[in-house]
Amino acid sequence: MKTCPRILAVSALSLAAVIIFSPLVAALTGTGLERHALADAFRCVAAPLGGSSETALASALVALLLGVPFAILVERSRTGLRRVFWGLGLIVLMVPPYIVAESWIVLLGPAGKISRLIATLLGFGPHSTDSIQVARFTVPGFVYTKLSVGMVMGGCLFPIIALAVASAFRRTDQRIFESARIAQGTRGVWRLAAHVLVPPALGAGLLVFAVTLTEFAVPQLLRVRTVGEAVYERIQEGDVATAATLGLPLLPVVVIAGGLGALILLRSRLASLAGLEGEVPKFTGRPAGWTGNVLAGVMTLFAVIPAMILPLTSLIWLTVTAKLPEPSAIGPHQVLRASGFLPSLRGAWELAHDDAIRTVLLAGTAATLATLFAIALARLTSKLGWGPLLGVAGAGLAVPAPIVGLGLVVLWNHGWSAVIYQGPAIVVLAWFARFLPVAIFLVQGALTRVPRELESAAALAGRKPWERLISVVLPNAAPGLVAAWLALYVLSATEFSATLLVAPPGSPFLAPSVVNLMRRGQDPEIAACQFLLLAVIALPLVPLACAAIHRARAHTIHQGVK
Amino acid sequence: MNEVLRIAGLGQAFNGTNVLHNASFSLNAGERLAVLGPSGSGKTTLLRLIAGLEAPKHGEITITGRAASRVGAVLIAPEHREVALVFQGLALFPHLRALDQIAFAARGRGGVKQATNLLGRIGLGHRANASLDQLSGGERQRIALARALAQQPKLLLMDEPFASLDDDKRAEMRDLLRSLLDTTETALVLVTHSREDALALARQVVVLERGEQVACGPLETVLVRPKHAAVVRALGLGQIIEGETTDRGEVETAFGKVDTTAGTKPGRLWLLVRAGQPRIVSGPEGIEAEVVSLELRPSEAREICRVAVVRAAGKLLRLILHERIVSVGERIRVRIEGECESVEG
Repeated sequence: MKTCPRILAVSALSLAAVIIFSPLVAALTGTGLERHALADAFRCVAAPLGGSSETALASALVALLLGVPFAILVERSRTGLRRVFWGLGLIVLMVPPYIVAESWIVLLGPAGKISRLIATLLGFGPHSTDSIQVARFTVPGFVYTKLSVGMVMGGCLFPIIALAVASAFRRTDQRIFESARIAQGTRGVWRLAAHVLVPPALGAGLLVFAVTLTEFAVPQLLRVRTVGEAVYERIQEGDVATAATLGLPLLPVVVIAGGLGALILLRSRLASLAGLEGEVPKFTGRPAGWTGNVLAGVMTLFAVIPAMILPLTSLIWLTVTAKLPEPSAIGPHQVLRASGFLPSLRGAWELAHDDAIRTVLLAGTAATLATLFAIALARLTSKLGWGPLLGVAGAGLAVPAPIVGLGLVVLWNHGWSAVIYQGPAIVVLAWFARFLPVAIFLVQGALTRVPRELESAAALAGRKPWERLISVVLPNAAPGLVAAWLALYVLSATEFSATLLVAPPGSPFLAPSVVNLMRRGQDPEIAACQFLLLAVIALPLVPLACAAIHRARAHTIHQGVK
Repeated sequence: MNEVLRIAGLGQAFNGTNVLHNASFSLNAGERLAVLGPSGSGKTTLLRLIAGLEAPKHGEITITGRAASRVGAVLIAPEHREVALVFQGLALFPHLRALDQIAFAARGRGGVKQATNLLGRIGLGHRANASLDQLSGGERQRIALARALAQQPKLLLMDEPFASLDDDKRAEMRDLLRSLLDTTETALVLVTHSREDALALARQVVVLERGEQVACGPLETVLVRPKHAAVVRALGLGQIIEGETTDRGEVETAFGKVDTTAGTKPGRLWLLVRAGQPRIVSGPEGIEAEVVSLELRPSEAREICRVAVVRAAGKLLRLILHERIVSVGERIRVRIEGECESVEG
């Protein structure tokens, strides 16, 4: 009776494994790497691996410092404010880290706009507009350090910590804090809070550590030597075999850190749910007074400074104030000469609207395909109790993006596959392969949050399995599935390492174009292109916001009628 | 009578632990059965097995004459069993409004018209468009009940359906359920640990303890002649005390010798002491006991029923105080009067 679902599940799992891991295998086996080169590669990757680890550690610490207080303060604030604060915090996840890194250079780098201003005000900055003299001026060059990479990445990823801590906080019946206070006073409350919040913070911190290890663009822009930088260097030199090998030492580190983080998060979730016997606590504690609300607001502003306020300031500053002295050709684009906010944006649109449209369409396609495939996979495996097997997919996230790109080139650059390789399908495939593990985790999480009893109730009401999926499971998992789709869309639209390698000639995509432009300098058009990329990322939020407003209105009208 | 449900030697185990063992009973159309037992006794597992949500490890289930489940297999899928289940947590669909919840189950059985009719019968006709968060706990209970009945099931299973309601609402829901069931031939299996629910709704009873079926039969018989201590506890029939039959055939307890229905075979036994049997006595008869605490209980009459908890030889016993007033710490003499029934422990 179970044979058919079992065959389907095995097929789907095999397909997922092929999609996720075949680029790595192809990159390692198809690039003609020799054994002695392998040894050399491992020897020369030691220093970059140290760099990667240090930046990842700094990033995790910064994310913890921002994420934990943010979660605690915001969770205790008033409901309306809480939504605003969480909205601001989560938007940070949509800002590509390389845009943040660029803004740090523009504002805080040597000769940066803020650092120069401060230096001038303090009387030790350059008093000249001469570019050479300005170039000589260097305020402490901390922007080009591992700590700075950590601060950028930590600033971008702190919502991961905040979400983990907040969800542990929400799962906890707040009465236990009251009983701790009665028993041991404030010390008891702190001890209990540590017991409740440390494991999720630690687990999420390890995830941030793992994600930072796989980041390529930010260390490159901030000129910090990491594994990503080393891999990219080899690719640019044409030594793809060594490039593929250099990524290997990173794999176990990322898999161990990420796996450990996920395990700790899972254990803390199970422990807290066991305490509640599966019930969400109804008593959520007394909300904070105005002091608590103000503190939550201040914390939110502080937390979003690195990855939202600084990039926005930088982009607006650049687009509004800067002027291009002379025209030049950058890549396939003609750089426009314009100044002022709107003309710059108009220019950027004319410059890159093809890239933007292509990015939106293909990122949407990749996100949709990955979401649908992940739904099918999660359903098939959960029915057989094979859900934990999907955890293996997490290892796919550890495969460095350039290696995914390389592997796909090796796999598909043949005569028989020209239709795929020379068209946009290869880019969709790259994003699909790269972010399928993310899709699996997010979709599995969304589906498992739908109480199993609902499906049982639908089954008893006579619904067939596919009807239950459509009429009960999907509507109730919709918020989680939409969030998963959105995350996949953002990740795909901002992906540049693999995209750069696989994108067909003459069909550039926005993210690689923007990163390439950023490498060449700072000007209003580049800033406007970054704005355009942010607009592309934010595009799906428009219908979602409309739907949310419509739903809220309908709810209000209904309550009014009642 | 049409047999709706037959269970034979049903058992279930999780991770090597037996949670249900050798349950056997049957139910005819229109009959109402209460399954009683403490938490963890296997009540919910029994319901899930009957609903076809799990395959049993032992035994078989027959529904309306058709084999529905046997060892390791669900032969009739839940959607084809003509069985409805009201879950303990209700399992209402968060994305549907009140009427849609019922219409969901009424599809192919009258649809929206039938759902509207049922909504009216449960007194929520005016709340058709209310979403779940706009409904009170009692209203949600009614919706869950209506959704189950909209399936026009042959067998209705209810898992602690009124556990979250206060006493007044419980009584209201019991009346509603009774009135709805009276118009149908639907059989009811009610899992509960509330004896009030069982006594008000059921005429058959099954008592489970640690997965074992310790009693099964008409409620009246079980009430009059309980065979097991678990039945006494589940139905609140009295107190259980430990006794020992001596070589002379007398039964000794911590509260003195008692008359029993048990034989004279030496050994340990459990005795049911009904309310009113323990008495305060004066003079040399009875056993000296210390009053440990005093309790009040509501009674049908206007007076308050006073109960003293007394301790003798480390064992506790509750006795109803009639005229005599006692205080905590006082030493009194008590005796168990009348014949005590012997039950299995």
